[in-house]
Amino acid sequence: MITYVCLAILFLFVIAKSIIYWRRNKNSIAPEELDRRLVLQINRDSDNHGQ
Amino acid sequence: MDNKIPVQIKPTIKTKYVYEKLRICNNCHRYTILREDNCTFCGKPGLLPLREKAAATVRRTMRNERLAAILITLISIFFGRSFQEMAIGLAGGVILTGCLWFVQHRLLPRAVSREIARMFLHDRQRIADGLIANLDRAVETGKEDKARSYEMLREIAALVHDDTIRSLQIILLQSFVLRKDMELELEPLLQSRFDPDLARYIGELAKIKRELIKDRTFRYILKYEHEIASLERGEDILAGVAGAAVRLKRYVLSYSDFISRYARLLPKERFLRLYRVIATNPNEPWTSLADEVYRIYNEKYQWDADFQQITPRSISL
Ligand SMILES: [Zn+2]
Repeated sequence: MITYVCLAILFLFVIAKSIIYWRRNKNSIAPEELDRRLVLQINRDSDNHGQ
Repeated sequence: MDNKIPVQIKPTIKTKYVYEKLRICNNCHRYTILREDNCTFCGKPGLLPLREKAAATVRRTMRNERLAAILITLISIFFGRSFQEMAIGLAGGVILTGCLWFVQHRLLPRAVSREIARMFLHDRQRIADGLIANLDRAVETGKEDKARSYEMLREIAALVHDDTIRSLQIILLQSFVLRKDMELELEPLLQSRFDPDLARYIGELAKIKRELIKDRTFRYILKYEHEIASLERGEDILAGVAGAAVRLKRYVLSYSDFISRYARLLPKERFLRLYRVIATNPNEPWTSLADEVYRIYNEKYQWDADFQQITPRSISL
């Protein structure tokens, strides 16, 4: 019995992880976007320091 | 400015994306943008590119998930009441763990990008502190090695767009003997305010590397034309920039009024170039520039042999 419960838990775990990965995959971040975010973040921060 | 020093400036290490310049210390987890072998903070080697660090983090998380799946499989085998149940537990566990591994493997690259974005947000202050430490170090280095200090500032400026850093770079550049074969830059150094050193630097580039002077620089010069004109040898700077503009017909058309104000100060070789552009394109809307050019031509170069080879299609005097 416990064997089947464990397999069911494992099945749900794999399904849940797959859904999470698949959803993240759909809104993936391109390297250009990473660049844009970092440059924006740094320069906004340095502007605040300058004020 | 006679005590300029001859220097060797190393070329920049080009990366496709700016964030690829940033590295993190594997030991103390602080960030740096400087190309150094050892961490500025802890002095140890082991600076990793962000992608490498993020990939290691993602791989570790994924490995832990697989270990959890294997653990559940083992429990299911352990509690099997018969050989058949144990076999089912083993087979089911292997298949499901295999599925998990397959999904992880396929989505690894995207997961790494997400991890990098998470690091930007999570380590926001740490990144800022790293860059400030880099800047301090660059300024400190400037006391002994100005060329290295310039290289460091250039690395920082790739990410931090700040007029103060640009000013520091310009001050250093103005203390160097600039040569044509150096890897110099101009547009990243343009500022939102007037900087006499920047104007002088542009004047020097107009002599040795005029191909660096492009639209953004012309607009900067036009914006601060009065301030530059009031500098010592300011008119030479403006004439140099006008001389750089005549290298392309497009620039001559866009900045014809500016060029006409300094056409008289152009050296012969630059004026010849301007004259050729105007004379061979009589139908372009040159406005007052054409009149000024032909006036100067008549006054100074009418009998010059170099100008005789160019035959204007129609002289609009
Ligand atoms: Zn360190």
